[in-house]
Amino acid sequence: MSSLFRRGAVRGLGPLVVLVLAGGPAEAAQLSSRAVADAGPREWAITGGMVHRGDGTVIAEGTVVLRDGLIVSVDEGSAGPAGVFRLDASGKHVYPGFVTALGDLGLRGGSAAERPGRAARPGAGAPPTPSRGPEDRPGTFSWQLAADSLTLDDDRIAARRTAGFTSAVSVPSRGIVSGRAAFVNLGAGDPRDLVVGGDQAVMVRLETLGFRSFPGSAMGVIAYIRQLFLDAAHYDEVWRLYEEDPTGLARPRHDRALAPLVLAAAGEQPVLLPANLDKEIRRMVRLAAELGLRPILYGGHEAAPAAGFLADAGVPILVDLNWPQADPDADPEARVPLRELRLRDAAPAGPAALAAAGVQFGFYRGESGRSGGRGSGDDLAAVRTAVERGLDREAALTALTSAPAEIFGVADRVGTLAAGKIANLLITDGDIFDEGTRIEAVFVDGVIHYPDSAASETDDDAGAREAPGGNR
Amino acid sequence: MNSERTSKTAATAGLLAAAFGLAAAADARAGQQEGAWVIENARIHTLVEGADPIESGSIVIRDGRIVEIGEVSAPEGATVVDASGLDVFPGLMDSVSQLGLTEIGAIAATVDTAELGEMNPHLKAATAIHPASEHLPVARANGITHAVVAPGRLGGFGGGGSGISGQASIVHLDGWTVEEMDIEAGAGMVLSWPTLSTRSFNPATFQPERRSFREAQEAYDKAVAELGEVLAAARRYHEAGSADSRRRDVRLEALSPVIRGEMPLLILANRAREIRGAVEFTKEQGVRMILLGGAEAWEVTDLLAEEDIPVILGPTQRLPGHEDDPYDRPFTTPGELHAAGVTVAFATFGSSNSRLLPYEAGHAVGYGLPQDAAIRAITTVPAQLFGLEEDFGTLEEGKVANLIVVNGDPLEIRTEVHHVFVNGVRVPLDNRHLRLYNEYRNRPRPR
Repeated sequence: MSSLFRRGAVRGLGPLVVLVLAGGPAEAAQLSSRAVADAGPREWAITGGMVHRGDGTVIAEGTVVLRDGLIVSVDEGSAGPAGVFRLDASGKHVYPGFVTALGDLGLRGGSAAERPGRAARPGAGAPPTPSRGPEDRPGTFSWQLAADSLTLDDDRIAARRTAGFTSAVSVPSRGIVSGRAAFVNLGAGDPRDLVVGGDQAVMVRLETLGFRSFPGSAMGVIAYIRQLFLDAAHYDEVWRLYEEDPTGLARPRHDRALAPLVLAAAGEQPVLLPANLDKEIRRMVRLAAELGLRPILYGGHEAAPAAGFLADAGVPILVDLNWPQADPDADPEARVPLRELRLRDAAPAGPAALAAAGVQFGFYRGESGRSGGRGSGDDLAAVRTAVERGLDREAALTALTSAPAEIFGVADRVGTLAAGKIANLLITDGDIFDEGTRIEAVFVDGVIHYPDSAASETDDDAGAREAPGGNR
Repeated sequence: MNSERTSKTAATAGLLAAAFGLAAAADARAGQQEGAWVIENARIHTLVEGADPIESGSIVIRDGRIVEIGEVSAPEGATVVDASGLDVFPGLMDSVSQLGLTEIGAIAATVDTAELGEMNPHLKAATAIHPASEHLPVARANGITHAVVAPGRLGGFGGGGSGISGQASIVHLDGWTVEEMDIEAGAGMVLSWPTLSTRSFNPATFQPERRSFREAQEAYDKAVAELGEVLAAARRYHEAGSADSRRRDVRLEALSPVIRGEMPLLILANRAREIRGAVEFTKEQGVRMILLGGAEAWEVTDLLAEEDIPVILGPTQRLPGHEDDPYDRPFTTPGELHAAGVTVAFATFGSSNSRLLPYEAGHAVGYGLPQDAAIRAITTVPAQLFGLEEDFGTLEEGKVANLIVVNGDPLEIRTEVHHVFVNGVRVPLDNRHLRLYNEYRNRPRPR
């Protein structure tokens, strides 16, 4: 297969790629400041490729026209408008950009999210005063919006983009309620331009605060979560009553931990809840139902036996691509429990069971350590493993694109290739789920990024190459 | 053991004794009778190899020893114990315990089991044994007449680390002083074999820690090499003779009997790999080894049989070590070892649990260990392992009169112990458990 962009030809828009017919000066003047900042061509026609729209339909020889960061049209066989950068994708595949549905991308750079409060873990800066009960709101940072703390000073962004991921759900990763998730595009430029949805879900983690601080046990954390959402519902009630007729009423106190949880407590904003094993999945769904929450589960390594349960409950789940596997550092004579071996075997088969049961699911890569996964690695390879274990390719594509967009409420903006949506897409030299398929170009907000090579996901140079003609 | 700690321990133990035991203990002692004893009409299980039990006979005891056994009449002046319908067995021996070293685990001042540091061959457990420990009468009341008391944490809380924790002492479970209790102060050198583990618990930070297998292997190899160096140094010290000008080193001196093969290394190791390592080490060093613990000894039965390594099994009344093991893994281990030709003894490795020793053996019978081997594993076998077969382990003329009079098989939980003789004296069976039993049994009840 000939590479769409040969190395060398890539930089500075190689002649193979495009035919330019510049727009008039008047049009150029209309460019938004964002487009100027991103530079590069702002209009593209991608022609001749097999277009996977992400909604289950495929156009054998489709044309996708992009303008100013949006998809203008997706149709069959047309040549596209004249006077745009033209990209011949004959023999190639075009996919909607992938979404990594949970993580802290863009939050671990130089200016990581604010970490206030008494909830710090022992060892990582001792807490000034240990919390004694739910009234201290231990480990609760519900007022933290990932969207407020985004930084591009995070090497992982370029690496993920190179691997075909154009969007991510990002949320701070510390505390019991660590903050609220943003749906962001993995582009370049100003982080403020990357936010697709700024307040999409509340993140809940089962983190104990150590020996000296409440909650120090799993039962304490669950009890606290229960109390917290009950308090949030009460807080909402009290303020509503006060605002209806404040005359003669004692003024309720403002609570920065509860105020941002009011929507979630009312079931109007989803809550991300951890659930890796079958029993954890069932418990979390029940807890969410008890509190009237709208859950999005994450983890899902033992999803298969719970698939029917999740389908009945109508609860979506984000599956951790960090498949449990043997630790290369482990003692070779250590006897691995059968339970662990079963989980290692079953985890990659979980998505197939979820798809068969009709559960909506997305993919993400969880932290290392949990259930033996290694924390880094090739997400697409992990999805391919799930495909090998029975996951339908179309379902896999949905889980990488439109499903997470729907789960996080931004399906009207991203997730499929359709006119009017954000121009997040990728072009590959073959079926994305075939071994050895290379990603040749990635568009984020209509801006083209060139993967360096499949093998160098963490190449430090990636940033220097990603926006030809840009100002970096 | 560190002097400050010892004195503290003694002081606290004194207080404890004053608080809930002294009066009772004094009463109990008053019942002891010196002089000759005769146990009549008993079914006598001598445990002499090849000999059948004596269906009805007498045992004459004088000056701490069995002087006559069989169809003999009572000597004049002897106190007669009628044992009609009862069985006499040799006193039971707990092959590894911490009797007298620790009173209440949660009260640090009463725990004197281990010294700081990893190389303490010069310590003797007997130094720290508290003769008035409440655990001694409890164990005694269940037929334990003598025990090996071993220093070290023995795999207890905190893992215990590795290294030589000192010399195990064998004592009678009766006596006003340690000297009265003494059987053999230096019976074996306790060595906690280094563990090769990628997971550890750091007591300083109270956090579990992980390291790579390579690091764990390096640490293990280093620890084993250091043990080898210590023995090499002891060997040089020993071979240099007893020249007066030489600077004396009590540690190396203490290791001399080990080097000479006179004192066994009591090596605590539970994982199969570590057992293999310990066997290889002692073979290279040419020293005698007795394996303690041996949770995974069933994996290396052939090696243990081939190298003739006896095993003093850690408490077998416990859960399996691995979640995929069958539930009865610890219960079947004694029978499997025995079938492979490995010498097996039982031990409780504890103090308050020492009384459970007969049930360790009894449970193993239910899971494949022959009855005869089970009773021997808590009587004759430990006596042989520690070189005490001249004086202990069987009921024969000339042996030390440590014996029990019971109403059946001592390995059965329902069997009651009627009389216990330690060092030729019948000891009272009163103990803290019995006192509490009576106290609560006679509590006021609602009408």
